[in-house]
Amino acid sequence: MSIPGKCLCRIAVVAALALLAGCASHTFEKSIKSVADANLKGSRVEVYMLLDFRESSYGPDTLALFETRLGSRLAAANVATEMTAFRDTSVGHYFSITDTNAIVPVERVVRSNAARMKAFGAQYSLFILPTMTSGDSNHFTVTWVLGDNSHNAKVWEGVSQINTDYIWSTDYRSDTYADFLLDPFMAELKKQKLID
Amino acid sequence: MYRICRIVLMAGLMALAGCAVASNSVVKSSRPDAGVSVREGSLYVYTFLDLREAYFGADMLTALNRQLVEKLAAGGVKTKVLTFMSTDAGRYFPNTGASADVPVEKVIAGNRAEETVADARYRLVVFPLTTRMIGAWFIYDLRWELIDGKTDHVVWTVKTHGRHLALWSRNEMPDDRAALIVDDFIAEMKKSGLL
Repeated sequence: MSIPGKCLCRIAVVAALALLAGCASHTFEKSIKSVADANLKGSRVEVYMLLDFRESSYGPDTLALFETRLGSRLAAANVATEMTAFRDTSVGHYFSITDTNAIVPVERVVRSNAARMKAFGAQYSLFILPTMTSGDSNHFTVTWVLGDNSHNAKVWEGVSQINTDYIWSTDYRSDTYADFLLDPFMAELKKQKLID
Repeated sequence: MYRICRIVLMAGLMALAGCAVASNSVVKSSRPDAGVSVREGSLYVYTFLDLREAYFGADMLTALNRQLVEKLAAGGVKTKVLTFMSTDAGRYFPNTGASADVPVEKVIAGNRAEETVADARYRLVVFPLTTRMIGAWFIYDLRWELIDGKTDHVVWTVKTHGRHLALWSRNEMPDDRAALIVDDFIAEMKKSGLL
Protein backbone atom coordinates (compact mmCIF):
# COMPACT_ATOMS: atom_id res chain seq x y z
CA MET A 1 0.00 0.00 0.00
CA SER A 2 1.21 3.57 -0.46
CA ILE A 3 -0.01 7.16 -0.42
CA PRO A 4 -2.21 7.71 -3.51
CA GLY A 5 -1.35 10.41 -6.08
CA LYS A 6 -4.27 12.67 -5.17
CA CYS A 7 -3.07 12.87 -1.58
CA LEU A 8 0.46 13.78 -2.73
CA CYS A 9 -0.92 16.50 -5.00
CA ARG A 10 -2.79 18.09 -2.11
CA ILE A 11 0.38 18.03 -0.04
CA ALA A 12 2.45 19.52 -2.90
CA VAL A 13 0.06 22.44 -3.40
CA VAL A 14 -0.03 23.31 0.29
CA ALA A 15 3.74 23.02 0.65
CA ALA A 16 4.43 25.13 -2.43
CA LEU A 17 1.98 27.84 -1.35
CA ALA A 18 3.48 27.93 2.12
CA LEU A 19 7.00 28.30 0.75
CA LEU A 20 5.93 31.00 -1.70
CA ALA A 21 4.25 32.85 1.14
CA GLY A 22 7.67 33.04 2.82
CA CYS A 23 6.74 30.97 5.86
CA ALA A 24 10.08 29.13 5.74
CA SER A 25 13.17 30.82 7.18
CA HIS A 26 16.80 30.04 7.91
CA THR A 27 18.69 32.65 9.93
CA PHE A 28 21.93 32.69 11.89
CA GLU A 29 21.21 33.80 15.45
CA LYS A 30 24.85 33.38 16.47
CA SER A 31 28.03 33.75 14.46
CA ILE A 32 31.30 34.28 16.32
CA LYS A 33 34.70 34.28 14.69
CA SER A 34 37.41 33.61 17.26
CA VAL A 35 40.42 33.99 14.96
CA ALA A 36 40.14 37.34 13.25
CA ASP A 37 42.34 36.71 10.21
CA ALA A 38 41.30 33.08 9.57
CA ASN A 39 40.48 32.30 5.93
CA LEU A 40 39.89 28.90 4.37
CA LYS A 41 41.12 29.73 0.87
CA GLY A 42 43.60 27.08 -0.27
CA SER A 43 42.89 24.89 2.79
CA ARG A 44 41.67 21.33 3.29
CA VAL A 45 38.64 20.87 5.52
CA GLU A 46 37.27 17.64 7.00
CA VAL A 47 33.51 18.15 7.08
CA TYR A 48 31.71 16.13 9.73
CA MET A 49 28.23 16.32 8.21
CA LEU A 50 26.37 14.88 11.20
CA LEU A 51 22.87 16.02 10.21
CA ASP A 52 22.19 12.43 9.16
CA PHE A 53 21.86 11.65 12.87
CA ARG A 54 18.39 13.11 12.25
CA GLU A 55 18.12 11.93 8.66
CA SER A 56 14.49 10.96 9.03
CA SER A 57 13.69 14.60 9.84
CA TYR A 58 15.91 16.29 7.25
CA GLY A 59 15.36 13.68 4.55
CA PRO A 60 18.05 11.47 2.97
CA ASP A 61 17.72 13.04 -0.49
CA THR A 62 17.92 16.56 0.95
CA LEU A 63 21.04 15.68 2.93
CA ALA A 64 22.70 13.93 -0.02
CA LEU A 65 22.14 17.02 -2.19
CA PHE A 66 23.25 19.33 0.62
CA GLU A 67 26.49 17.36 1.04
CA THR A 68 27.27 17.35 -2.68
CA ARG A 69 26.52 21.04 -3.12
CA LEU A 70 28.46 22.02 0.02
CA GLY A 71 31.52 20.29 -1.42
CA SER A 72 31.06 21.97 -4.79
CA ARG A 73 30.43 25.46 -3.40
CA LEU A 74 33.48 25.25 -1.12
CA ALA A 75 35.58 23.89 -3.99
CA ALA A 76 34.50 26.90 -6.05
CA ALA A 77 35.88 29.02 -3.18
CA ASN A 78 39.18 27.10 -3.41
CA VAL A 79 38.50 25.00 -0.31
CA ALA A 80 39.08 21.24 -0.62
CA THR A 81 36.78 19.05 1.46
CA GLU A 82 36.36 15.47 2.59
CA MET A 83 32.89 14.60 3.85
CA THR A 84 32.20 12.30 6.78
CA ALA A 85 28.58 11.56 7.64
CA PHE A 86 27.58 9.91 10.92
CA ARG A 87 26.38 6.71 9.28
CA ASP A 88 29.65 6.40 7.34
CA THR A 89 31.61 5.89 10.54
CA SER A 90 32.09 2.74 12.61
CA VAL A 91 30.38 4.59 15.46
CA GLY A 92 27.29 5.41 13.41
CA HIS A 93 26.92 2.08 11.63
CA TYR A 94 25.09 0.18 14.39
CA PHE A 95 23.67 3.19 16.21
CA SER A 96 19.89 2.93 16.51
CA ILE A 97 18.24 6.33 16.71
CA THR A 98 14.86 7.22 18.20
CA ASP A 99 13.21 10.60 18.59
CA THR A 100 14.23 11.00 22.22
CA ASN A 101 16.93 13.44 23.26
CA ALA A 102 20.34 12.11 22.35
CA ILE A 103 23.97 13.12 22.48
CA VAL A 104 25.73 12.79 19.15
CA PRO A 105 28.97 10.93 20.00
CA VAL A 106 31.15 13.48 18.22
CA GLU A 107 34.42 12.65 20.01
CA ARG A 108 34.09 8.95 19.18
CA VAL A 109 33.26 9.83 15.57
CA VAL A 110 36.38 11.99 15.29
CA ARG A 111 38.58 9.31 16.91
CA SER A 112 37.25 6.66 14.55
CA ASN A 113 38.02 8.94 11.59
CA ALA A 114 41.46 10.07 12.75
CA ALA A 115 43.52 8.02 10.27
CA ARG A 116 41.34 9.04 7.32
CA MET A 117 41.46 12.71 8.28
CA LYS A 118 45.25 12.54 8.66
CA ALA A 119 45.58 10.91 5.23
CA PHE A 120 43.50 13.74 3.74
CA GLY A 121 45.69 16.31 5.43
CA ALA A 122 42.84 18.40 6.79
CA GLN A 123 43.99 21.65 8.37
CA TYR A 124 40.47 22.40 9.56
CA SER A 125 37.42 20.45 10.73
CA LEU A 126 33.88 21.68 10.19
CA PHE A 127 31.21 20.11 12.37
CA ILE A 128 27.57 20.42 11.29
CA LEU A 129 25.39 19.25 14.16
CA PRO A 130 21.62 18.80 14.52
CA THR A 131 21.27 20.53 17.88
CA MET A 132 17.47 20.53 17.96
CA THR A 133 14.85 18.92 15.77
CA SER A 134 11.18 19.41 16.50
CA GLY A 135 8.96 16.33 16.45
CA ASP A 136 6.98 17.59 13.49
CA SER A 137 10.15 18.36 11.48
CA ASN A 138 9.15 22.01 11.17
CA HIS A 139 11.83 23.59 13.35
CA PHE A 140 15.55 22.87 13.47
CA THR A 141 18.58 24.31 15.20
CA VAL A 142 21.91 23.60 13.55
CA THR A 143 25.27 24.27 15.17
CA TRP A 144 28.23 24.83 12.86
CA VAL A 145 31.73 24.72 14.37
CA LEU A 146 34.95 25.33 12.46
CA GLY A 147 38.14 24.21 14.22
CA ASP A 148 41.82 24.54 13.47
CA ASN A 149 43.24 21.02 13.68
CA SER A 150 46.87 21.97 14.24
CA HIS A 151 46.15 24.35 17.10
CA ASN A 152 43.11 22.42 18.33
CA ALA A 153 41.27 25.73 18.54
CA LYS A 154 37.82 26.92 17.55
CA VAL A 155 37.94 29.36 14.64
CA TRP A 156 34.23 30.07 14.17
CA GLU A 157 30.93 28.96 15.61
CA GLY A 158 27.49 29.59 14.20
CA VAL A 159 24.00 28.62 15.30
CA SER A 160 21.16 28.80 12.82
CA GLN A 161 17.42 28.54 13.32
CA ILE A 162 15.42 26.93 10.60
CA ASN A 163 11.64 26.99 10.22
CA THR A 164 10.16 24.98 7.42
CA ASP A 165 6.83 24.04 6.03
CA TYR A 166 7.32 20.29 5.74
CA ILE A 167 3.93 18.74 5.52
CA TRP A 168 4.77 15.10 5.18
CA SER A 169 8.12 14.15 3.73
CA THR A 170 11.14 16.38 4.03
CA ASP A 171 12.39 14.88 0.79
CA TYR A 172 9.42 16.00 -1.21
CA ARG A 173 11.24 19.21 -2.24
CA SER A 174 14.80 18.03 -1.60
CA ASP A 175 16.26 20.21 -4.37
CA THR A 176 14.80 23.36 -2.78
CA TYR A 177 15.52 22.40 0.81
CA ALA A 178 19.14 21.45 0.16
CA ASP A 179 19.80 25.03 -1.02
CA PHE A 180 17.63 26.35 1.78
CA LEU A 181 20.04 24.68 4.26
CA LEU A 182 23.17 25.65 2.35
CA ASP A 183 22.73 29.21 1.05
CA PRO A 184 22.61 31.02 4.44
CA PHE A 185 25.67 29.06 5.60
CA MET A 186 27.70 30.05 2.53
CA ALA A 187 26.56 33.66 2.95
CA GLU A 188 27.70 33.59 6.58
CA LEU A 189 31.13 32.22 5.63
CA LYS A 190 31.55 35.13 3.21
CA LYS A 191 30.29 37.65 5.76
CA GLN A 192 32.87 36.36 8.26
CA LYS A 193 35.56 36.50 5.54
CA LEU A 194 36.25 32.80 5.97
CA ILE A 195 35.90 32.44 2.19
CA ASP A 196 36.33 35.10 -0.48
CA MET B 1 -19.70 -5.52 17.37
CA TYR B 2 -16.51 -3.91 18.69
CA ARG B 3 -14.56 -5.26 15.73
CA ILE B 4 -17.16 -3.96 13.27
CA CYS B 5 -17.01 -0.53 14.91
CA ARG B 6 -13.24 -0.50 14.56
CA ILE B 7 -13.42 -1.48 10.90
CA VAL B 8 -16.05 1.19 10.18
CA LEU B 9 -14.04 3.84 12.04
CA MET B 10 -10.82 2.88 10.28
CA ALA B 11 -12.51 2.94 6.89
CA GLY B 12 -14.00 6.34 7.68
CA LEU B 13 -10.69 7.79 8.77
CA MET B 14 -8.98 6.38 5.71
CA ALA B 15 -11.64 7.88 3.45
CA LEU B 16 -11.29 11.28 5.15
CA ALA B 17 -7.52 11.25 4.98
CA GLY B 18 -7.37 9.77 1.50
CA CYS B 19 -4.22 7.99 2.59
CA ALA B 20 -3.15 4.45 3.48
CA VAL B 21 -2.61 3.53 7.16
CA ALA B 22 0.67 1.73 6.47
CA SER B 23 3.29 1.78 3.77
CA ASN B 24 6.76 0.46 3.15
CA SER B 25 9.30 0.86 0.38
CA VAL B 26 12.89 0.09 -0.55
CA VAL B 27 14.81 3.38 -0.62
CA LYS B 28 18.29 2.09 -1.36
CA SER B 29 19.70 -1.18 -2.61
CA SER B 30 23.32 -1.90 -3.45
CA ARG B 31 24.47 -4.20 -6.23
CA PRO B 32 25.34 -7.57 -4.67
CA ASP B 33 28.88 -8.84 -4.99
CA ALA B 34 29.36 -11.27 -7.84
CA GLY B 35 28.87 -14.94 -7.06
CA VAL B 36 26.72 -14.49 -3.95
CA SER B 37 24.16 -17.27 -3.48
CA VAL B 38 22.10 -17.47 -0.32
CA ARG B 39 21.08 -21.02 -1.26
CA GLU B 40 24.63 -22.12 -0.37
CA GLY B 41 24.48 -23.51 3.16
CA SER B 42 21.93 -21.75 5.33
CA LEU B 43 21.23 -18.11 6.13
CA TYR B 44 21.57 -16.93 9.74
CA VAL B 45 19.29 -13.97 10.41
CA TYR B 46 20.20 -11.59 13.23
CA THR B 47 17.25 -9.31 13.89
CA PHE B 48 17.64 -6.34 16.20
CA LEU B 49 14.11 -5.04 15.61
CA ASP B 50 13.03 -6.29 19.02
CA LEU B 51 15.15 -3.51 20.51
CA ARG B 52 12.25 -1.35 19.32
CA GLU B 53 9.45 -3.77 20.22
CA ALA B 54 7.62 -0.92 21.97
CA TYR B 55 7.31 0.77 18.57
CA PHE B 56 6.73 -2.24 16.32
CA GLY B 57 4.63 -4.39 18.64
CA ALA B 58 5.58 -7.89 19.79
CA ASP B 59 3.00 -9.66 17.63
CA MET B 60 4.14 -7.85 14.50
CA LEU B 61 7.77 -8.82 15.12
CA THR B 62 6.81 -12.47 15.69
CA ALA B 63 4.83 -12.40 12.44
CA LEU B 64 7.73 -10.73 10.61
CA ASN B 65 10.25 -13.35 11.71
CA ARG B 66 7.87 -16.18 10.80
CA GLN B 67 7.04 -14.73 7.37
CA LEU B 68 10.70 -14.07 6.59
CA VAL B 69 11.59 -17.72 7.29
CA GLU B 70 8.60 -19.00 5.31
CA LYS B 71 9.21 -16.81 2.27
CA LEU B 72 12.93 -17.53 2.21
CA ALA B 73 12.13 -21.26 2.49
CA ALA B 74 9.80 -20.89 -0.49
CA GLY B 75 12.84 -19.59 -2.37
CA GLY B 76 14.93 -22.59 -1.32
CA VAL B 77 16.81 -20.86 1.52
CA LYS B 78 17.23 -22.57 4.90
CA THR B 79 17.11 -19.98 7.65
CA LYS B 80 17.77 -19.65 11.36
CA VAL B 81 16.70 -16.52 13.26
CA LEU B 82 18.32 -15.01 16.34
CA THR B 83 16.58 -12.09 18.04
CA PHE B 84 18.64 -9.53 19.95
CA MET B 85 16.70 -9.66 23.20
CA SER B 86 17.12 -13.45 23.38
CA THR B 87 20.92 -13.10 23.57
CA ASP B 88 22.96 -12.34 26.68
CA ALA B 89 23.93 -8.97 25.20
CA GLY B 90 20.27 -8.16 24.63
CA ARG B 91 18.95 -9.46 27.94
CA TYR B 92 21.29 -7.17 29.88
CA PHE B 93 20.98 -4.22 27.49
CA PRO B 94 19.65 -1.09 29.24
CA ASN B 95 16.77 -0.56 26.83
CA THR B 96 15.18 2.74 27.77
CA GLY B 97 13.85 3.46 24.30
CA ALA B 98 16.59 6.03 23.79
CA SER B 99 19.07 6.20 20.90
CA ALA B 100 21.78 3.63 21.47
CA ASP B 101 24.95 2.04 20.24
CA VAL B 102 23.84 -1.57 19.68
CA PRO B 103 26.44 -4.32 20.28
CA VAL B 104 25.77 -6.06 16.95
CA GLU B 105 29.33 -7.29 16.45
CA LYS B 106 29.41 -8.70 19.99
CA VAL B 107 26.17 -10.62 19.34
CA ILE B 108 27.55 -12.06 16.11
CA ALA B 109 30.89 -12.96 17.69
CA GLY B 110 29.07 -14.76 20.50
CA ASN B 111 27.08 -16.81 18.00
CA ARG B 112 29.91 -18.01 15.71
CA ALA B 113 29.72 -21.58 16.98
CA GLU B 114 25.98 -21.73 16.23
CA GLU B 115 26.61 -20.37 12.72
CA THR B 116 29.03 -23.25 12.15
CA VAL B 117 26.56 -25.83 13.45
CA ALA B 118 23.89 -24.36 11.15
CA ASP B 119 26.33 -24.40 8.23
CA ALA B 120 25.52 -20.72 7.70
CA ARG B 121 27.40 -19.35 4.70
CA TYR B 122 25.82 -15.90 4.99
CA ARG B 123 24.29 -13.84 7.73
CA LEU B 124 21.53 -11.25 7.38
CA VAL B 125 21.54 -8.40 9.91
CA VAL B 126 18.19 -6.60 10.18
CA PHE B 127 18.79 -3.32 12.01
CA PRO B 128 16.46 -0.50 13.13
CA LEU B 129 18.35 2.62 11.98
CA THR B 130 15.71 5.09 13.12
CA THR B 131 12.31 4.84 14.75
CA ARG B 132 10.14 7.80 15.61
CA MET B 133 6.59 8.82 16.35
CA ILE B 134 4.85 11.85 14.85
CA GLY B 135 1.44 12.01 16.46
CA ALA B 136 -0.02 8.55 15.93
CA TRP B 137 2.30 7.80 13.01
CA PHE B 138 5.16 5.39 13.65
CA ILE B 139 7.95 5.92 11.12
CA TYR B 140 10.95 3.64 10.74
CA ASP B 141 14.06 3.08 8.63
CA LEU B 142 15.57 -0.40 8.50
CA ARG B 143 18.84 -1.65 7.08
CA TRP B 144 19.25 -5.20 5.83
CA GLU B 145 22.88 -6.29 5.44
CA LEU B 146 23.89 -9.57 3.84
CA ILE B 147 27.32 -10.53 5.16
CA ASP B 148 29.68 -13.26 4.00
CA GLY B 149 30.16 -15.48 7.05
CA LYS B 150 33.71 -16.47 6.00
CA THR B 151 35.11 -13.01 5.31
CA ASP B 152 32.73 -10.79 7.36
CA HIS B 153 32.42 -8.68 4.23
CA VAL B 154 29.09 -6.97 3.53
CA VAL B 155 28.01 -8.28 0.12
CA TRP B 156 24.63 -6.56 -0.21
CA THR B 157 22.76 -3.78 1.61
CA VAL B 158 19.15 -2.68 1.42
CA LYS B 159 17.51 0.22 3.21
CA THR B 160 13.75 0.32 3.65
CA HIS B 161 11.46 3.06 4.92
CA GLY B 162 8.00 2.53 6.34
CA ARG B 163 5.24 4.09 8.35
CA HIS B 164 2.19 2.88 10.23
CA LEU B 165 -0.75 4.82 11.66
CA ALA B 166 -1.40 3.29 15.10
CA LEU B 167 -5.15 3.74 15.29
CA TRP B 168 -5.69 1.64 18.40
CA SER B 169 -2.44 0.09 19.55
CA ARG B 170 1.12 -0.51 18.36
CA ASN B 171 0.30 -4.23 18.10
CA GLU B 172 -2.57 -3.97 15.62
CA MET B 173 -2.68 -5.72 12.22
CA PRO B 174 0.54 -7.65 12.93
CA ASP B 175 0.39 -10.01 9.94
CA ASP B 176 -0.48 -7.30 7.40
CA ARG B 177 2.16 -4.89 8.66
CA ALA B 178 4.79 -7.65 8.74
CA ALA B 179 3.88 -8.68 5.20
CA LEU B 180 4.43 -5.13 3.92
CA ILE B 181 8.02 -5.20 5.18
CA VAL B 182 8.89 -8.81 4.35
CA ASP B 183 7.34 -8.77 0.88
CA ASP B 184 9.32 -5.68 -0.11
CA PHE B 185 12.55 -7.24 1.11
CA ILE B 186 11.91 -10.56 -0.63
CA ALA B 187 11.00 -8.74 -3.85
CA GLU B 188 14.29 -6.83 -3.64
CA MET B 189 16.22 -10.06 -3.11
CA LYS B 190 14.62 -11.47 -6.23
CA LYS B 191 15.25 -8.27 -8.20
CA SER B 192 18.91 -8.43 -7.15
CA GLY B 193 19.21 -12.03 -8.33
CA LEU B 194 19.75 -13.41 -4.84
CA LEU B 195 16.54 -15.43 -4.71
